[in-house]
Amino acid sequence: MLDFEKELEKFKPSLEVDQAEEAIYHNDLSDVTDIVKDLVEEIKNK
Amino acid sequence: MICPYCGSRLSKRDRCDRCGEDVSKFKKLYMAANKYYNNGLMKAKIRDLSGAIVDLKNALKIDKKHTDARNLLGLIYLEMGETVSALSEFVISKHFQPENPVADYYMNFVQETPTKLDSLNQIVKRYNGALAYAKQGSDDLAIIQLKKVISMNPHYVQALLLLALLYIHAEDYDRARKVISKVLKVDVTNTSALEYLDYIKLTTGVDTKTASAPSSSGSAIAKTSVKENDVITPISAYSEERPNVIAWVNLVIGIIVGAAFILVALVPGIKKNAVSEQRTEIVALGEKIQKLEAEVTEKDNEYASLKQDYDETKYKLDNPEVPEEDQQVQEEPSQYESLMQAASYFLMDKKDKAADRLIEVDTEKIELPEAVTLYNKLASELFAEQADKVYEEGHKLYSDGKYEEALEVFEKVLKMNPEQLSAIYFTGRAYHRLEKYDMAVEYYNKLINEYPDSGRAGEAKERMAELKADGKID
Repeated sequence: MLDFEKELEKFKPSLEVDQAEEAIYHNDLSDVTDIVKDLVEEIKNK
Repeated sequence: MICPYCGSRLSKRDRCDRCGEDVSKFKKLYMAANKYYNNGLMKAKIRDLSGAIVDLKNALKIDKKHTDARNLLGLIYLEMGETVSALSEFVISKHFQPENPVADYYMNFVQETPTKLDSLNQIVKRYNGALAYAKQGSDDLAIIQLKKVISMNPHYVQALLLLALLYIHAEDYDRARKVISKVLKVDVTNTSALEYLDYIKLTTGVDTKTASAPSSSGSAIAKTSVKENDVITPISAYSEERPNVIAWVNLVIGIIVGAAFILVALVPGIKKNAVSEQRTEIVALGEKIQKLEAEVTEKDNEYASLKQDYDETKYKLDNPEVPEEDQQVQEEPSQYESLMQAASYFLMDKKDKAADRLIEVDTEKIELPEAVTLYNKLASELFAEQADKVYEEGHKLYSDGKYEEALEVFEKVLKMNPEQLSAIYFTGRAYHRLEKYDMAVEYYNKLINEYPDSGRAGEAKERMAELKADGKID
């Protein structure tokens, strides 16, 4: 049985243009390459 | 593949040719990211957009600078009606790779006219409004808004899904089915759409069975085949055989009532929102202008200060009535001339020529304090940046086998920045290639003794070992 209320909760408002700047700034841009780079640096410094 | 340390293009070797760092582990990561990208591209080509998004996000989690993956993700968002998410991806893609014609093309596509971006934003606003209505329980208003949204952008997946859900809630399964088929044309594996379709099948499957029971005098096999058949067959049969005039009249009345409501209740609100948005935009633009003005003033001051230094020193050089300082100038005219030429080139924004002149200046022979200040100021502005640029030229000459010419360039680099380790290393390598082993050893030893923790020192040790093994040195 489809729970209408529950399904409706899954829908989130789409981003509007004036929220774009915020979305870009808050985008988590750390990647696995960064993590590996940090680890290599840490090992080198030991 | 790009070196994570210095950003230069990587060759087949496990070490970066430019900075000498070990990049073998990163190459494996880049290959994994590429694999995800290829899967994402393959899925996007068969319109499995949901699957493609997952793969492309995984590729970007491994390598955020994977421009192709980011551009494709942006394109998919654009196709699914998520304009702002698409723009965000293109902006980030441009940030990591400024020379990016693909991102440029799509950004221009979205922003080709000021009204286009605004109308795309209006679609998103309408969808958000419809969602708010749906959450308040005003399903009819939400449906009206969503129909408008879909007429403006028929590929807006979220809007189509919400409309389908509202039709299912109103038990209008026929319409819901049509809307879902539109979603599946855009994104063939959309989980929500498939879930809704299953639900409709489950609900209407019972009705179809009972409705078809009296008319079907055929075998049990025929019955079974109808029950198990795809959803496409019942759709056409259901909709085409029952034209309902009253429903159409009700729809027209509903639209008229809805339009009247929008004119009375919503239009003033929308206008008010538009005005407040424009105000916020004006304030933001005002702030940007102030920031730019401050930057211009700062540059003007810097220019005025340098100009003043230049004028003062030039005056002292030209003025024969300053006895003591003039004497010094006459003793070493070339130093001051070079300094003046460097300052002059710097003011003309010809930084490479300014740096060339400045390295000719011997600071020990300058005694005028203003000239020393001017030298220091120019050196701090020019040498660090120019040393790296000139090093690139030297490295290119070295790679082309022009070792004598490369040596001249590396010498210039080391005059600008004596701690440019790559220039020290490749000076040694150039001497090595020219079979001037004593000189090569001198530069290798410089790295090993003065910068023992650097990657270049490790490489210098390897080269020294090679020389010893070949019997070139003791």
